[in-house]
Amino acid sequence: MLKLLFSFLLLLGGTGAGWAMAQPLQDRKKQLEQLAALLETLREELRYTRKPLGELAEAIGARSDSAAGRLLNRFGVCLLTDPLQGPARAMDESLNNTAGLALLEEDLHILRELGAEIGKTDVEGQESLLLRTRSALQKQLREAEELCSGKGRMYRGMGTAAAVLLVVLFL
Amino acid sequence: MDEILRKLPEDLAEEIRKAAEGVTACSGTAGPEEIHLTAGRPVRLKQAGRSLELPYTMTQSRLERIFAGLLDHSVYARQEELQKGFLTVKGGSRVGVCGRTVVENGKVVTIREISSLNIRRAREFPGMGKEAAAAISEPGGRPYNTLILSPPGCGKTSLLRDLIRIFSCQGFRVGLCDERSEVAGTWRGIPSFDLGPCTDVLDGCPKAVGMVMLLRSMAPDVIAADEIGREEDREAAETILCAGSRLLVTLHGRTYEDALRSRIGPLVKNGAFHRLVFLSAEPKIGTVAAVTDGEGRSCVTAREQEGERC
Repeated sequence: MLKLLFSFLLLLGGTGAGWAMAQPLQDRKKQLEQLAALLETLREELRYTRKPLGELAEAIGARSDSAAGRLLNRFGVCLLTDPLQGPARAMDESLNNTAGLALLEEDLHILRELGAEIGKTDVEGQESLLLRTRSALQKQLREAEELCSGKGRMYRGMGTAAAVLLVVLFL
Repeated sequence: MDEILRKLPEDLAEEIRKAAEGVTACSGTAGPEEIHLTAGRPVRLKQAGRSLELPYTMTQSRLERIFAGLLDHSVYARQEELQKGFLTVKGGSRVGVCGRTVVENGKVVTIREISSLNIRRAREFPGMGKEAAAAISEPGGRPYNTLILSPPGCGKTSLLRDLIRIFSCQGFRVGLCDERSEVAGTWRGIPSFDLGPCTDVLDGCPKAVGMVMLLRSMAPDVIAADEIGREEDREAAETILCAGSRLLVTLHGRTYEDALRSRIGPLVKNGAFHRLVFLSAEPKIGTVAAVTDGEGRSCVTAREQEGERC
């Protein structure tokens, strides 16, 4: 009886470990999706309302209960709090201090490039920049989806397989 | 003042506070009226009629940073203002911008390589319009169609602001078309200045369009606007005069002849404005030098000649 229970716990633990290894891949995929959606909202509201960047980013970020939303919100708050700071530094600070981000360095690089350029041109220029950024994020998203279905499945499978092996050895 | 200083580097803000406190202690005026920043030159303040040079030289890079901060790092949001050569910041203060213009099809698109900024602080002076309000009111209290004339820097925007407040407090519904956000200093929908309980503000709207929008949507007793002088403004004013609302507007100029020569000259000539208020900076900004009727005759003279007109 105890052996069975222990085997069950081993199986559970191994599968759980596999899922835990795959989770960051899922999180990254989700956050890239959310970021792309938020940037699209930013683009549309910027074009329609012409509100300053800090106000827009703070409000749009606050509406989303996600790490991506918190990132955008923090970016907006940084701009509003310190007028001399500038979007590049505000983006840097937000990326370094937003909890729960599962983005890779190449994803962060896209956002830093956005921070360096945003706010500097007219509406058409801003729309073009946001579309390019969204496009770059969507490319990252496609890669993240492939990683999820490839590596993610592999981690989950390996976790379960390792657990089964341990159970067999134990029994 | 704090809102302006927030947009400046901390060390510069501190220098301005110290210098301003010194002048305030001597003259009683609270804070500088203008802050002038020029690349490569010391920062200059204007307060209580005095010009002060601070021990702080503005660099080009700092000026660009300050300018970006004044724009809220959102050039797209301030494009139209930049095309006119100035910005209005929170609180209604106006920032004049000089630099290299970018011109496209004969129109200024933007300004780059900023060389100087002139920050003119907006202030309200409750009560400054009391005498003028009495001079431009009918026996029932309703204001006449009134044109306020003065050269730049003599207080016509401040006077307009107080007159709006006075008539609004008397219960007249006032519609203000605040194209440059200077009169009301609206920030996120809330005016920074006291305009009275019965005032509606249309913020950031071109006067020619905005005055008519107010007429159609808010049923105002009085429509107010600052610095009308374009052809389309005249056409909008004509629409309002025909509809029965009273006009309370300002114009750059010194004399009755300046008013006649302006784009709204035909309205002045036809007697559309029953009162003209002339302002002067002597002995101080906002001094009402004269109030005349629509033909340029002093109200006192008109009263003597016609008995009841004024």
